[in-house]
Amino acid sequence: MNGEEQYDVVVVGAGVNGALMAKYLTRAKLRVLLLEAGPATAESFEGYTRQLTHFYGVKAKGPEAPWPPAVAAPQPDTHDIRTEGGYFVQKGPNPHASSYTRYLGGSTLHWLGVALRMLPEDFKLRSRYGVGRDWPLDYRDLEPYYRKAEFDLGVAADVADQAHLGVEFAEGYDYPMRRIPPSYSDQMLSTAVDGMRVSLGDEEFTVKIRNYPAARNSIPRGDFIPDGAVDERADGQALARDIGQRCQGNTACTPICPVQAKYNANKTLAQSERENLQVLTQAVASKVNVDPVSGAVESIEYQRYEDPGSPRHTVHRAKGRVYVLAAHAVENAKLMLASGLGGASGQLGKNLMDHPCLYAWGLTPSPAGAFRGPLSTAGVDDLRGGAFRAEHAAFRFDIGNDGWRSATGAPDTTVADAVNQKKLFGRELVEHLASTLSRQIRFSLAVEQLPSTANNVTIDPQYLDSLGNPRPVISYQIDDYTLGGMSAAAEVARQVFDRAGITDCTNSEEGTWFPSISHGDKVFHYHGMGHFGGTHAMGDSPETSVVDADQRSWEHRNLFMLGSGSFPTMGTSNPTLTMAALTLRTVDRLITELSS
Amino acid sequence: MSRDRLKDLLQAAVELELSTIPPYLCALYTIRPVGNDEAKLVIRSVVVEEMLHMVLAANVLNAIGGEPQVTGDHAPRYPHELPDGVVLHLLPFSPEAVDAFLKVENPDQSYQPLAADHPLLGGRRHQHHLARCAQSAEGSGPTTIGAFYREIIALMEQAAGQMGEQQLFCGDPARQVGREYYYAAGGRSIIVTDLASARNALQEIVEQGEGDMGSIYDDDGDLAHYYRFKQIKHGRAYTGAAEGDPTGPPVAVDYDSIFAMIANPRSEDYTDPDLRAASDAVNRTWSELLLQIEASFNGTPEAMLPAVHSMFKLRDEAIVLLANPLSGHAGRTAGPTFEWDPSAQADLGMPL
Amino acid sequence: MSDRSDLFLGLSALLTGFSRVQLLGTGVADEYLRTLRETLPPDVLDGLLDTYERLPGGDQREAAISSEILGDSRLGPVARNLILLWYCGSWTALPDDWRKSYGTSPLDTDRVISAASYVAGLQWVAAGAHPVGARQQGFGAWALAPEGGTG
Repeated sequence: MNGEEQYDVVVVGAGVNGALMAKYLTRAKLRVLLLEAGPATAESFEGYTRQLTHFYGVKAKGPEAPWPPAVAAPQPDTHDIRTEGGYFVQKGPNPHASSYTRYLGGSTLHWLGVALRMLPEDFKLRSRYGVGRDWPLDYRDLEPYYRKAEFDLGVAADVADQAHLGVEFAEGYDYPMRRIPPSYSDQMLSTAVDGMRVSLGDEEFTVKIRNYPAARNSIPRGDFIPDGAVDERADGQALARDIGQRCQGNTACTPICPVQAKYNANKTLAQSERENLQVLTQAVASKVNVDPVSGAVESIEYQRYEDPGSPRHTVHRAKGRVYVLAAHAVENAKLMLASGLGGASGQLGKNLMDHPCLYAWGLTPSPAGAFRGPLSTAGVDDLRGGAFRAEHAAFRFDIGNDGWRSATGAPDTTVADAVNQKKLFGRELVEHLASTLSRQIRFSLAVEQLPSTANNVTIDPQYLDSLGNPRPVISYQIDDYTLGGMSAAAEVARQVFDRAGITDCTNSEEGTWFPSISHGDKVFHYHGMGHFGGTHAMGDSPETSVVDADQRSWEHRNLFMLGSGSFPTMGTSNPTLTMAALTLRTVDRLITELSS
Repeated sequence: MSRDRLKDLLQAAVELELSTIPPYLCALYTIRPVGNDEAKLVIRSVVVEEMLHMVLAANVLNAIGGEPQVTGDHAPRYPHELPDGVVLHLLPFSPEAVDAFLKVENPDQSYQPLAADHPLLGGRRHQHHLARCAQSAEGSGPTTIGAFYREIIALMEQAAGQMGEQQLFCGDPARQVGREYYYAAGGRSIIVTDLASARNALQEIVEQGEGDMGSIYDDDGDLAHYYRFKQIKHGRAYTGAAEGDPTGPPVAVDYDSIFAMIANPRSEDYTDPDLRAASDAVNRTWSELLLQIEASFNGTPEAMLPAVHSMFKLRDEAIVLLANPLSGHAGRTAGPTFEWDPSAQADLGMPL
Repeated sequence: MSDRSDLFLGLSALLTGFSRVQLLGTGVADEYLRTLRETLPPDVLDGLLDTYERLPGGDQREAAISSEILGDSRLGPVARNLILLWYCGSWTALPDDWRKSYGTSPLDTDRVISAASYVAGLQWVAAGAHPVGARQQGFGAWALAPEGGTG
């Protein structure tokens, strides 16, 4: 063991939360050490482009395809669920079907960019509907930080579209950029579907195809200047920064936006006050050392490796006044458990959640222009809230702009079917594909999941990675509450298809393989949304939660744990904007405390 | 009448900036997908900068009541002669092309034109009317581009003094192309409504083109384009504040990894009907792009949005030509001819 | 251009429905011919090109390609693979029974030929679209009516 550095704040993890911490703490003249387990290739445009070229050349083009892990920093891959191998040890009964990325920039390198706020009612699920938990803060507490986060991430949307379901905006506020133009298929669907009525239990809802807020560059409002690509170079030269100041429609938000018009955390990192920031990449945090008497964190041990292809490493220790774990819901819990800091509440690692998601796919009656534009630009948000939540999960639909790509492997599988089964060639083949591919449409039905202590991350000394660090052992079950939501979602999707004249082609036999789960006489094939939550849930009591509303550990008062791990419940919004808002709130408190 | 003279000069400026774009696009598109990363980035960023210059010149012209034109006879034809005597050619990425870009980026430098019998030129060359239009006010021979813009600024100041600033800047502000429709390029569109903003806009063009000659770095600490082209010419990077030729670490440049398009191709070079159809498609898209740009300068600024789409379409169609060997030209390929298609029609809006 | 690549392009145009200019315009035609040469047992590519060369011209050509090439147990799967290659930029492993009858090679596996071939896939052109992650159409182009595929 060698090398000890003293910082104001030691941050573990350079995803969106770690980057926001680094940006604002360094700007407040605090000295920050940022430890990132993965490589830094994405911080130069040239390095980023290499990852893109890698993606072009690989056969399996899943969300992780451009981002292969370093040997020393393994990560889950959605493909592992099929092979039952990989980084996660899945104890079941259902596999957790999501993944994340250990790279400088974190999973924002391959997120979709959906930047929805949570609904006010999402924070009070227990008091409103008698299920789940309440948050120790409410929408109004977070609203100013949502605004700030929307500027930090660069979110494109129109308040006029988003002020519904109780979501309120500050007077005179609008998003920093105009909404991303709705795709041609959104417009078609809107014409056919808007105003249709659906019922959930006794409640009636009006459905509207609604543009969603996205952290993708669009036409700016006022003086806002969209951040383009990150191009940090040793010589300070950066030719690529003006690339990606508008979304160019690469239809590749996930797994890699080629021009970085979509937010990634390296943009935030690049805005840090560099003289106050030390970034160490390929540095795997392996142990949190605490004072056994006070419980205060004394240092963080980390393993530094030179070669991403090798487990060879050296061990170091970092010291600060305050420590921040921003490594991901699963990694945060794993690191604490590996440090023997499971805690007295028994909640650490528990309440693991996701938004288990179903696909529905079909053919539109006329060409809809599939395979163009951002991966998706609109959805159905009307069923995210309501009294039905006392009975079953809420849900939202995302309407894809990429045909059946994620559901069936199109267009390759469509071509193979036309050539090998339909025996088409020549002009007939071209015409068949022109008419079929353009009409493919896909809905993602993302369903809420409640916290349960049966769903958790643990560690087991018999499952270690190549550095000797524990691999996450995952227990996970999709319960009746979520299954009820899946049933309702599938039924509403069917009605929307009917209304729009879409021929329903949903058929798990012909689709990509996904894990299945039964509910009554129905079988659902679900995938993960990459939305891990709940492993260090916040609350108002150390007996029932891991962190307080400031994301500060109840037991280790100079330790903060950031991210969706802090969420007591998930609601139906993609978690990134909410975790960014929470982090910005924590940053405010930390700066006040450390600067005094 | 000084307003008319100003309008002529500013129209010439719009055409001048437009005419630099196809040569850069040819260099950019002829680079094969893998390699020459630095060259691709430099050329791409110069293209968006030249586009910005054209938008700025058009904003100034609009501000004094003009109507910027880029279609028909106002579209460039290649080889294309600039006011300073530099002749622009459509060439693949090559040492000759990089030399030409160095001239364009540093317009006050003296220029040695390619000989008329240079193998790249195939004996073609004609002078565009722009070169005549942009003769200096004193009528004496070609001027430099920097001097050309400085002269416009001086004339403008003079006219504002004579007729009054408000009278000179009588244009409809709704005709200005603002930064919501034109972005990037390390600079921003400037709305021109008076002498100060007009001066800003024109100085932006001159400064971006010439750089600050006192330093090789710009205000943001970035190496000016002229010096980036020198890095490519010499295959070496600048280090620190060093001036002269770069002597630092190697910059990878591979002139062999290109589509070797013939110089200054013309539609009539394509006798194969499919190839001719592919070339016609490029010219149709180029002409749509020009129509959209012209509309954006004439009261429909949002036409800049579909223009970006046309620009990408042009790239994809040009690449098809570039990957086709041209029979009768050993080892050479077809390429985009950038000819005006009078039958083209364009979408001028986008459903937002 | 050698005779073999000329035949290869002619056959490819007939199978894919795209013109020679468009096929050459992908920039990967040579790479595909090389792929066939490296991946197939030595006599199969010659068999394919020779059969194509002997096809009748004019109106009978399409019918003849169905019977002589696509309907042939040895050449049919290879010709269909060639179509997939042009459309998807990747090679698909030949069926097991074909490999048993006509031979195999280590390269006969599911694989993307190259980054360039992925981007050059004709399926995106047919769809009136662009490859995922490449050849983007520009801000807002997705809001316009699709232009429809061209072959």
